[in-house]
Amino acid sequence: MIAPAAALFLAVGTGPLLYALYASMHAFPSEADAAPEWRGAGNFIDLSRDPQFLQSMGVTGVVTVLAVALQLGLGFVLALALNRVHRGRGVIVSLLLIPSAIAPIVAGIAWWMLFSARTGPVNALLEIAGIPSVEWTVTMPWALIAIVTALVWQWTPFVAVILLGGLTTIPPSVVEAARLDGAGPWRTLRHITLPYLRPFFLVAGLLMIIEMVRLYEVPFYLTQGGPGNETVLSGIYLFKLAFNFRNFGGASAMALLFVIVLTAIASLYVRLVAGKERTV
Amino acid sequence: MRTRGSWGAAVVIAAALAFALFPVYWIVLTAFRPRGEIFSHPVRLLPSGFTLDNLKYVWLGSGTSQPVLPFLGTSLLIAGISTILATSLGVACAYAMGRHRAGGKAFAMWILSQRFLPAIALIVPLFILFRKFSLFDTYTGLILLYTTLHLPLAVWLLLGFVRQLPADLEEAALIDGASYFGAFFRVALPLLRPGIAVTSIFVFLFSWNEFLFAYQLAGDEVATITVYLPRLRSAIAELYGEIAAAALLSVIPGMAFAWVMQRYLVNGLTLGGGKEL
Repeated sequence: MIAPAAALFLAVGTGPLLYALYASMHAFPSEADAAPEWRGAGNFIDLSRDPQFLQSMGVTGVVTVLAVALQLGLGFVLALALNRVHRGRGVIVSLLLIPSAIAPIVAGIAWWMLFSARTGPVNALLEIAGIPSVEWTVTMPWALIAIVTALVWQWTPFVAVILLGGLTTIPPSVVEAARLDGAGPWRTLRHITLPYLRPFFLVAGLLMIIEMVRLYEVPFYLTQGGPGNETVLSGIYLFKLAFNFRNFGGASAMALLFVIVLTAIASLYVRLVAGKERTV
Repeated sequence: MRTRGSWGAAVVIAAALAFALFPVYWIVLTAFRPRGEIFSHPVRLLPSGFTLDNLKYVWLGSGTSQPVLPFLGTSLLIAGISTILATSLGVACAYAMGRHRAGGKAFAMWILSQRFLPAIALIVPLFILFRKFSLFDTYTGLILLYTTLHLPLAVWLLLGFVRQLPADLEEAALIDGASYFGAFFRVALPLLRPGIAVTSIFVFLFSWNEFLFAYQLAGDEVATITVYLPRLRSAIAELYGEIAAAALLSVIPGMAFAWVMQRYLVNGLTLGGGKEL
């Protein structure tokens, strides 16, 4: 009964991945029928000297660090708040998850409208507060801030739900014992809540890092990579390499780098999940 | 117990709800707002005028843009079939793995590793392979792709449900003379209904929302709603109302599914979080 699934994985997952490995070491001439030429590590060396590639990795790093830190921090605060509410929690959670359930391209559209310099409500609110308005999507660092805002909007409630799942695993007796021993709310948080939540933080963080490396739609619509090439994130640059520059070898080499990084992350994830099963 | 803390919690939740829902409010507002008001200064934050012109524009199309309905239909067909395929293959695979240890630990790891394969890593090889096997810009191509792309998630979610299923019932059925497949179809499958529901809703939503592959591996003959949306943006005219109306229409089918999903979601996530290996 696993045969059909296994066949599909081979054909559309692992097969193409092996092809990407092959492609990353070849150059693809522009003539349609010409055979790919062997380049060895040439594509990787080209990438390491490509300033646009390096810039895209840098921008992705900045966006990932900022977005994931905010998603985890705000998500934790939100999870603590949700944990205190019992009546209506289901409805609240389902409303909060709307941003994660919406298509990423629609998230891009929504924030493009919100950050519109002339017609958007963000500048309107700034104006009411007496702050001069900002050309959000076309100037730095505002374009980057706009992207991070959209990502925090999309994923923070999702992170909060994962952490909420962790909070419900803390036995009330442990919290009660800490209270009887004279621990205040701050110490309970520091010495009981956070240690219990550690694996859930790691899982949520890893899922978000993967999401950020994959990122495409939001910058595609919101800033279109601009101003200039300032918000060309790694995902967008890979597509530029492949489909604008027709550099299939270079794009495959870049894809393979992603796979290596994400495999490292995934193996960490698996070890965490397996470790959790052993302790529970 | 009404403490300072519970007021704090209420404030945090209210702020989170406002932040999460404001963009949705703005899309709805803009979709039904007359053109003149969208560009009024200062920007009006509250609803005022009402018009169906924007919806009419995307519904009927115009000289420069196509009507929205065929794109919704394409998305529905592709997401629907992918969901049926991924869920039924997923339930068979998860059952065999969970009940009979089919494939062993290595297979489980392989499936999980597919979850972490970033879609963008596959785009170049898939582009070349799709060209070679004439799957480019076809329904078959996208359906095949979405089915495989979401199958690991389906197996991963359903495995949690299979593991929770008490084996006694199927064993009883086998002792009473049911075949292996009889025990699966008549006993296990009905009990897995909640898991199947959660899985199908996730797969539908992800397929419905997918943009990258639909944009690069199709998009001319076979164009989904997510590919349609960016086409409305034009360098010449600022069609905020029209784009908002189209975005709103594109979100409704997914939201209808999400509404059904919420009852199972928290449960599904915790199952997936700890028990898949």
